[in-house]
Amino acid sequence: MKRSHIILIVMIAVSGAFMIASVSDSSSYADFAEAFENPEKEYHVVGTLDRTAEIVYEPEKNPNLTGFTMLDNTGERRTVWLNKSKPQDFERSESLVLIGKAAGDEFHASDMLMKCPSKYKEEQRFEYSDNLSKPTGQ
Amino acid sequence: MIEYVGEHTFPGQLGDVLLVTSFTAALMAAVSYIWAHYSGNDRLRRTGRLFFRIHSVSVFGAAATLFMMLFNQYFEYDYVWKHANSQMPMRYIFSCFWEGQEGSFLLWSFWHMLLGNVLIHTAGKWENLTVSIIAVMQMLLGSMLLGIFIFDFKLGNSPFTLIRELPENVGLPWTQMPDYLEKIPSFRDGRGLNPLLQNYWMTIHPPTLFLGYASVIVPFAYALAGLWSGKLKEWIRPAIPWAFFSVSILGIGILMGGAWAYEALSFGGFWAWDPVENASLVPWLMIVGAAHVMVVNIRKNRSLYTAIFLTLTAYITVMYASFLVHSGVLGDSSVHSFTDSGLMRQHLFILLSIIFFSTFFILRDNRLKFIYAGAALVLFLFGSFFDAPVAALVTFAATGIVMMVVSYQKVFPKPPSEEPVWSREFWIFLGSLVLLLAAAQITLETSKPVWNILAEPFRGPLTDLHRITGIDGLRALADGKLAPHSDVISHYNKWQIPFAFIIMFLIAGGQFLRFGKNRFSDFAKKISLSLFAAAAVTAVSAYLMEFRSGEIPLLILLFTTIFAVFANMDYLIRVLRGKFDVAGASVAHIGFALVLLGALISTGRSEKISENASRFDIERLNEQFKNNEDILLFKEDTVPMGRYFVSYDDKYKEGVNVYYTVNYFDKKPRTFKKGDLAIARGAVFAANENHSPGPDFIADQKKWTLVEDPRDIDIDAVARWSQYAPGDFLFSLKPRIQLNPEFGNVAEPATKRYWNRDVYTHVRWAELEADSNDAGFRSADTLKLAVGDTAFVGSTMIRLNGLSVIRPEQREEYMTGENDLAVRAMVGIRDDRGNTFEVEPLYILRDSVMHIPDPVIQDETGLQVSFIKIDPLTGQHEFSVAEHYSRRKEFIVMQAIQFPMINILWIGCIVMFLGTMMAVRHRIKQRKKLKAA
Repeated sequence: MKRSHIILIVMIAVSGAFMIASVSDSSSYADFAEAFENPEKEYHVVGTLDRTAEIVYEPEKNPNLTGFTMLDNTGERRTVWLNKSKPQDFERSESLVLIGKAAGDEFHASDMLMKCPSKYKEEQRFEYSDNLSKPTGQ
Repeated sequence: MIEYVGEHTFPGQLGDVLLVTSFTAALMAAVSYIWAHYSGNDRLRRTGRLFFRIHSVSVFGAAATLFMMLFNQYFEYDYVWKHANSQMPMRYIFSCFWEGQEGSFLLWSFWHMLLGNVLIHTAGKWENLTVSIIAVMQMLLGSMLLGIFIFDFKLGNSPFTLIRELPENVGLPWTQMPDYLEKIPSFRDGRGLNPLLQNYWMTIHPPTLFLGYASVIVPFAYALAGLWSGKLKEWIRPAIPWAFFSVSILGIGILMGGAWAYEALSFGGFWAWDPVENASLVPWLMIVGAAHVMVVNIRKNRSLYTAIFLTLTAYITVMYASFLVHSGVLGDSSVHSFTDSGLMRQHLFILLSIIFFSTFFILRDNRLKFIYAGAALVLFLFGSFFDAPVAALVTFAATGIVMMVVSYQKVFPKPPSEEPVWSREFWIFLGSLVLLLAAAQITLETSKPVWNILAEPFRGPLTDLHRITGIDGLRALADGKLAPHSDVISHYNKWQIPFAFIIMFLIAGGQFLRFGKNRFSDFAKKISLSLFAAAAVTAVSAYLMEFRSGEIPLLILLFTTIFAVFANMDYLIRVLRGKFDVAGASVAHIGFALVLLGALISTGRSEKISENASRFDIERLNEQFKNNEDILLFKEDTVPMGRYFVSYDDKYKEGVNVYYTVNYFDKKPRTFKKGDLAIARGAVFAANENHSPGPDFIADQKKWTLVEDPRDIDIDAVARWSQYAPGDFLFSLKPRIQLNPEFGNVAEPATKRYWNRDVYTHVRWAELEADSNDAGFRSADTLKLAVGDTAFVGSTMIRLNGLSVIRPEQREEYMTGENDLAVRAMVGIRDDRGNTFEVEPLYILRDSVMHIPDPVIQDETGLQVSFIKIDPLTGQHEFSVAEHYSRRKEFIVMQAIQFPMINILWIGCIVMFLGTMMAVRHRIKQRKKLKAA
């Protein structure tokens, strides 16, 4: 066997290995229902912050814990404990991606990605109303 | 026709005309040049040049027009309104220019245009093909900026669009008002630049990075031109300096991004394996591999196919990076989340065109080319008209790969023998393969959202495979729900660290191997000095930095990077004797090894020194939760943190920034003298003897007596018991929060730099608005307490000591009425200094139905306690407790990370940049010499 063949085989084997590792190590997107069925598995759960529920952040007790309620994309509502300080502008977030596991009735997230509406997405409103018709001056 | 008041329509029209002109001129330039190539007609070549010059002037003009519009703040234009505002300092106008997608495409196109002009002057006989290829790319890129509708399909987004002309606004009543600019207040000012981006890095990082991206087109154009004209290897010599130029500029561009993230963004580091970062790293790895294999080829006439393949792939990955970032495919996997601007299909078309042309030319054989082009056309039509784009895409990719293997086997010349194992060419070849694998791993991992889309036609087989293998990821893939790894950083590190140490090892050894056959004994003799020196230094530093046995990959990387630095220094001194001209490679390799060494030490040994020291341990809630993230600092408290004492002293506002002054003090072991007072466990103690305290109070308690009656003591002057005492003031850091109602508030870190470590501090949370009602109380907490239960409000402890019903004879004392049912709660309060108080709020029910509120205020602690509900069933009674605002100390939640030896990384960046630039210079000189000869 020529050396180039050996190298080729090694290359293919390594590529195969990280394809398999990549798939088998991945987390998957899920809704709360699936995450709570398999509490031992880590999931990415996408949803929105429930603004009607209280956001619990008591840094005096522990600055690394934030509690809130999230609605997943199917509309299921769960209490979430996040092992992070409360993100700046959390209330304004548009969508959340939780990374973590179900624990009892609650979801314990070790990390969270948050998207704010106006950061990249354009939110442009040009409305005309009569009471604004005169420039007020700055 | 409405005459609009105050609009500046001319610049927009000019800009659009210039964009269309540049597109058309690029088309004409490409046609003329290609024709000139086939006919050999010099007049056609001059026509091509003329068109490319027209194109250049138009691109420059369009960029200048956009800049002028931003500078003059024509907020009637969408791009200006979105990216600029009237408070913008001059230096950020550039940043606004390339903040948006249209501007960044224009910047990219601008660099292509400049590089094309350099090629016109330097490419000589390669001019026809290389410049025509650049012109074709300029057409493709330019099409992203046209903003023209062809039937229903919108081609590109123009940066010169008026807001009233945007599709979502057309037809709205206000667009019919001639004076809408005056009447609608929103038009008076733009939205401005995201505060995250208001940073000098935003002025220099994007243009550098885009120059790096753009420069990859030159080796790409040379490689395609070589394949096109059948001069399979002649293209390499002129392309080499360009390849190293790309290595240099793209490399420094990426590292600038890292420096920016470290300095101004609160990622908590300089590299986070974010998709956007990865997308820039992959082309760099590819062009590094390509440049090295090119050198092998001109020296030993080997690795030709690899050189061509890597060069073409480098540019494809540049385009793929842009596709990932701009198409919205990444969706939920990145914090950067660029949303789809409606150009996904067009961008995909450009990407596929480049892949198509690269594959087409690499096939070489006319019959293969014909089959491939036919297949591509059929698949394109099938994908577009039968609504099966994914199946078409997958088939297209598979066809390409099969055809390339066939062409490699059949059409490409093979060297007669394999290269010797102990030779520089073989090591470089191996290195390029490792780089390819590293790039492939990053690409596959980053592209997970793309997999989900591509897997769609294979749902059936994937589900079956999941049943057989039991790998959950397969089912997730089948459902299109594959998510990134839950700890992305460690997953990347796991794979990339081995790749990195192999590369480092090859870099160390490769220099001491000559091209051609080497005797192993000679090689071993030459390398042994650096090998032993590196082993010794590694051993010492591993001991000093306390590497544990579980960190073998890191240790190997530590050793190989040190080895690479030493071997290249040795080579530079002993073999090259410091000859400047040829030293580029060694210098660049030292730089690269230092970058990795710095990254390894600063990240591998980084330490989050902020830690939750409060009572509530969240590891009890979930064992995977960590306490050592952030620390709570009450204003003016001095608390131990890592090797320091820190205190949060002050905050002040300057412009849009709120600065928080955090002082760092030395931490010194302390001694107590007889009679010293200290607070521990909520009580005051006095020391019995002179002593040095043990690690905690329990171990130390024998040496203390409780002060039974602390009333004479000024409790404010007594510190909590601690093994340490704050020593000298060391430094002050001012992390800040930038207030921006438009984009959201952003925290920016502050860093104290020492020569051997950085202390990085940023505010994670701060109360920006005061929370208090008219009477000055904060919003109340509701507590459910059974008798004997305790709870905390702020730093004050509340305990329900007992309940008793108010008897009729006590009514007068408690001022309750005849028909009242009243229950008295004895509520104990203990403040943070250990003082205890008791209040007695009443639960009053009048006439059996009406609850009469009876809040009690405890003056010393500033607490307002109300008894709001009795629950005899559970025994958990409800109280509402509010703190008075003035009693509550202000606080911030802060994170502090110590990065040791990060300066090695920055030094490495500079050294690597200089080294690669030296290599570029050397290659240009060599080429000139060759031309002269």
